[in-house]
Amino acid sequence: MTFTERTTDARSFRHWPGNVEADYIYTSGIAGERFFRELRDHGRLMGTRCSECGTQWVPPKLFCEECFKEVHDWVELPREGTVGAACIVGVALDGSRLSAPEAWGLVRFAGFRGGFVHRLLVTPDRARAGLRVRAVLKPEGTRTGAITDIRGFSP
Amino acid sequence: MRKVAVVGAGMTLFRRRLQETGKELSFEATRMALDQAKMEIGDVDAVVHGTAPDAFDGVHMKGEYLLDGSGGTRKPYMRVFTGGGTGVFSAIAGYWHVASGLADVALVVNEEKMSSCQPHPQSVFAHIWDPILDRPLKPNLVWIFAMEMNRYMTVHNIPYEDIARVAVKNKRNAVGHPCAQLADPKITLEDVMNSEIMAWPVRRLDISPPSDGAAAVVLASEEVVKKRKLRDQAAWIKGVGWCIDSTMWTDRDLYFPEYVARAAKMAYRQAKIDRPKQQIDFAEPYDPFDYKELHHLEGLGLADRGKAGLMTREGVTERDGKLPVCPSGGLLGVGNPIAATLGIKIGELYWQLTGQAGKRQIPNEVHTGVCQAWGDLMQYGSVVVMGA
Ligand SMILES: [Zn+2]
Repeated sequence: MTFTERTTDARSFRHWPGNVEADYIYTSGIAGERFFRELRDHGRLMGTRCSECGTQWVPPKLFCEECFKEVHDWVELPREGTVGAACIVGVALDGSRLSAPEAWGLVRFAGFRGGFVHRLLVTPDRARAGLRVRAVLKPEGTRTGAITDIRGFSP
Repeated sequence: MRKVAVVGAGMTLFRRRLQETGKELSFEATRMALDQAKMEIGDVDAVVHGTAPDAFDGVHMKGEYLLDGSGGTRKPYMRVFTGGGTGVFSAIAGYWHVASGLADVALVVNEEKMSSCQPHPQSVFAHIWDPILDRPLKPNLVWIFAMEMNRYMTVHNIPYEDIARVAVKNKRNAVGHPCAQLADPKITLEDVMNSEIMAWPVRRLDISPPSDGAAAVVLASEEVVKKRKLRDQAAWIKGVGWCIDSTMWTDRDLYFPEYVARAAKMAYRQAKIDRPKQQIDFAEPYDPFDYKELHHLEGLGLADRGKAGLMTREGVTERDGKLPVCPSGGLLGVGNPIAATLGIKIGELYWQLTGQAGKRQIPNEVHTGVCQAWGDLMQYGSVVVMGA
């Protein structure tokens, strides 16, 4: 018997229950507001371009992390991105086994810094770096202006 | 140690809720500070970030989260946190980067976005209490302040009016501040006295409410100041001090902030100040509550014990008085985005000492100022003395 096995049920000891109750409302910010409006209303994925050093950012930033200037210019992303890295998830956040493994990927776009970590809408055996993918959006009218308006990325 | 100067400062609006993300707020303040210092991010050797509990913004490890908006990417970067004391302490951490010679230019960026936390930041503040001894009784943070204020009033027999006058002065002082959330040119003593009782003796207008905002300052070595010809816009850091008292607020006699007195002693020794009342021209003590300005003035040795209220009543601490106190408008007038109060403590000292305070400029010539912040579990003081 290992040490961790002996102490897995901490609640069997004398204890005081407690709960840190905290609820949050977040702002998407100035750049985020525009990004999500474009996504919801026009089904477009947008980034920003630094007019000082030319770096293009996705998700869009209002400032350039490279040269630290304010960024004003908006540019649309290319339709296709590339999976830079993938992982196949078998265990949920709470430790339970998923009924079917899920494919997740880091999707990058040519000419842009950054990208999205999002669901890959492919069977796990196809989720590999190098796969060319496009965003699959929820239908117009059902989008709310959230990252979940993108259902995932598929070839 | 090397001489260190503040050569630029910036701050955002302070508001109950701002649309900008914490990163965007940090960027705005930092860009302003760099522009004032006539510098670019490439001139910065190290970045210190100051921000209060993660639980306010609702982003865990938010010092790291705010990094890109704070110009810290691929640089020596650290986040410091001493609760409310961060408003001045982060600048002390920036100071030692430059004073030690490890950096020639250090950027200090503070941010707070308290509006994320619902229904009120008070709900997470409740968790600073001991989980077994206190929390089952559902105490509120304001209880501590109410008891401390009551103890201070009781020991020195201070009338409530003398405390409420601080709120009136600071909210009026803030009228000239472009970032102010709580400025009120018409506020009266009666308004404060008649405002809702939160936890007696603390009324609503005795408290500075939660806020969103960011502030930044650029610190530079003497060589950088010379080389870049920044002498006319440099205010020198003459002394720094910080101190923390017992964890248990029940262990302290609440009428006097010993932690501030010790932090001030440390800063004054370095700044060669042995008669603060004669040698300090103006002060920016931490004033999230009106009684705290008085408390802290006494801790800083700028008022005799129990006499800071009288000084306020006699007008000594007005902007045109003998010892202007919180000429910025302070937390009570400008706002209280915890760590971002850097902009109304270090920032105000900087702008006043270099004659850049605009409508808030103290009419008398000022050469030496002191600022102070208060935080952690209400037992922490950070003090910086600056001179032109
Ligand atoms: Zn750039």
